This record gives sequence, C-alpha cells and structure tokens, in this order.
Amino acid sequence: MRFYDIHIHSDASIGENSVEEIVKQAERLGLKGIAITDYFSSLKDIKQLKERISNINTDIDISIGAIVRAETSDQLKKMVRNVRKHVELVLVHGGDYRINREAVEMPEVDVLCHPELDRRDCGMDHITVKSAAENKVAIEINFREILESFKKHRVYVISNMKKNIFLAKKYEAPIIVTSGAASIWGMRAGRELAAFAFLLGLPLADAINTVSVVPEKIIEVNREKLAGKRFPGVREVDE
Amino acid sequence: MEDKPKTLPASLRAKRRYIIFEVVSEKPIDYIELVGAIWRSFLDFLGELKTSELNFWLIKNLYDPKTQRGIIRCSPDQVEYVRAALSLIDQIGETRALIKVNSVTGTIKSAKKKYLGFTDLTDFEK
Repeated sequence: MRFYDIHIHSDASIGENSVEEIVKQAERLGLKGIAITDYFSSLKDIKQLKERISNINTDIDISIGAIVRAETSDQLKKMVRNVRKHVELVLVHGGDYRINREAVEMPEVDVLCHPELDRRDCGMDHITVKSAAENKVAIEINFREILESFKKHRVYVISNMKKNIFLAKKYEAPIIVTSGAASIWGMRAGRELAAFAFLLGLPLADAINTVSVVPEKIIEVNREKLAGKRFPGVREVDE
Repeated sequence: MEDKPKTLPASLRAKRRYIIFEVVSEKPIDYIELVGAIWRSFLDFLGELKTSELNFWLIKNLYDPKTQRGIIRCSPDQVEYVRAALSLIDQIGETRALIKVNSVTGTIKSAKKKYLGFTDLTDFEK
C-alpha cells in the first residue's frame, strides 16, 4: 500500500528534526511519500528547503507544503495567493471558525488543518462542510492532537473529530489523516493512522484511503497545475 | 460572522437523552467534587474512546446542592453505559456516596417539570 503523510514539521519552523532525519524515519515506517509542511516567513525559506530536499538521495516522494496561519480572512487570502505558485500543498491552520469557513471557500487551499483545535465545539457546520466538498478542500484529522492530549481533553478532541467525520461523510467532503508530527517520534506508519480514522467512524476501506489515495491525488493534481498541464476545467493528457 | 458554527439542521443534530440522578451521601456534596468523581469513573471504567462516544454533559445550572439532584445529558444508545459507570461511584471527594438514577427523559423540559420540581420553566430556558 502506498501511504502518505502530508503534515510533518521540520526544523525550518516548529519541528525538532532536520529533513534528512525525517526522511530516514519515513523509510523506517514504510511510507511512500511525505510532505514537509512549515510556517514559512518568506519565499526565500521555501527556496532553501527545496534545495535541501533536492540534495537528499531517497526513493521517498517528498513534497513541500506551506501552512498558512492568518488572523483575518483578508490576510488569509493574501497569504494563500502568495505561496500557491511556489509549493505543492497549501494547508490552512484552522481552529478559528471564521478562518475555517474562509479556507474551505477557497479552491486554492488543499487542506484545512485541525478545524477543532482549542475549541469546545467541532469548528465545522453543514455550511462549511458543503463548501469543503464543492471546493475539494480536505478536512484534516490531526494525530498529534490526540497524542498530546490526556484524559478529559482527549475525550473532547476525539468527540469533536467524530462530529467532523460524520459531517464530512454526509456531504462527501474529502478527509485526510496526518500525523502532524513536530518530531520524528510523533510520526506514525500509514496503517496505524488509518486505524484511528476507522475508530472515529469511517469504514475501513475509506479509512485506508484517507492516508493513501486522497493525499496522493491532491499532490498529483497540484504537480500537474504547477507544471502547467492542468487549468480549471482542462487537463493536458500525455499521448 | 460569528465565531461559532451554525446550529445544524434538525435531521443532522445528535439525539439526546437526559438522565436525572440523585446523590445519596453522608455529607452534602458540591458540584466540583461531583464532576471530578463522575469523570474519573467514566475514564477508568469506559476509557477515553467510549467516553467520547457518550456525548456526556453534566448540566451545571440544574444541579441542586440542597436536594442533590442533577441532570446528565448523553447519547440515546449510550444510556446504559452511563448508568453502569455512575453505579461504580462509591466515594465523592472524602465522603462515602452513591449515585442513584431516578429516570431518563427525552427532553430537558420534561426532566425539569416531572423530576426536579420546577413549576415556572421560563427562568431556566437557557
């Protein structure tokens, strides 16, 4: 099975480990592809990371993602448009309902990360999930949130994630499960992440797709767009 | 735009049951001790995963320290799990105590009216 983990932080922002260490760990865990996702402060940082990745000799499919953390919707739009042409994945740091809603209404966004972060409710409603399905913005289930919470807090986190999965299933919005790791010890193998998706209410086949087919497809589509082979409504096909 | 999600349509909303309970104890029990004891019992007996399925909520403003009665909200298919977990409480804080379930209702209004003795329901429609 080709498993992907598309939310891993490196030492370029909040992560503890270098890209080389992350790749080594991904090889041990049997992942097919990973995405190094960070909070970039400038386009120069993205260039530097690209150079570092190009020097690594590995079979693992490595892509770069930018996590956008914004306070207002205008700021979010601006930041997303700035980074879109330079990275394969654009993720939005969710948690604030207004940001969640704005993010799912933008087709440029690929993933809405942890919409239930630091909230008492699940951060999503029928309107946002419908928009996510229309614009193909994947809703993320972040494993780090479960891993780093305990007892009562963990109960609330799991309960909110279940509500999000229920709504996403209902409106057929894409769901992905990621480790959200900030160190190599927070990374997990694909099948273990799928087990969590299963426990949160997805059928097993769909749960496995959340860590394999869905992220692979997102990366493939974005690579075609960056290479100029895909435009809205049109795709160039090789003979 | 408000900073909280909109209320879901009725067909998507989670169904609920309201469990009316009574604390039988040697000394009066306050709300904070009760919450601690209930959470501990749920987490120890049912675990984190099952507790997350209960959709459990202890309604704060309906706990009466005088009569020691209160209401727990939960999911309809998990009522028996809540009853079982509540029955395993034998101590609240330093006091020996047990929790007795009086009844289960489908609406909060009927719970207040029939079992908590509210006559004027308008004050508590929050």
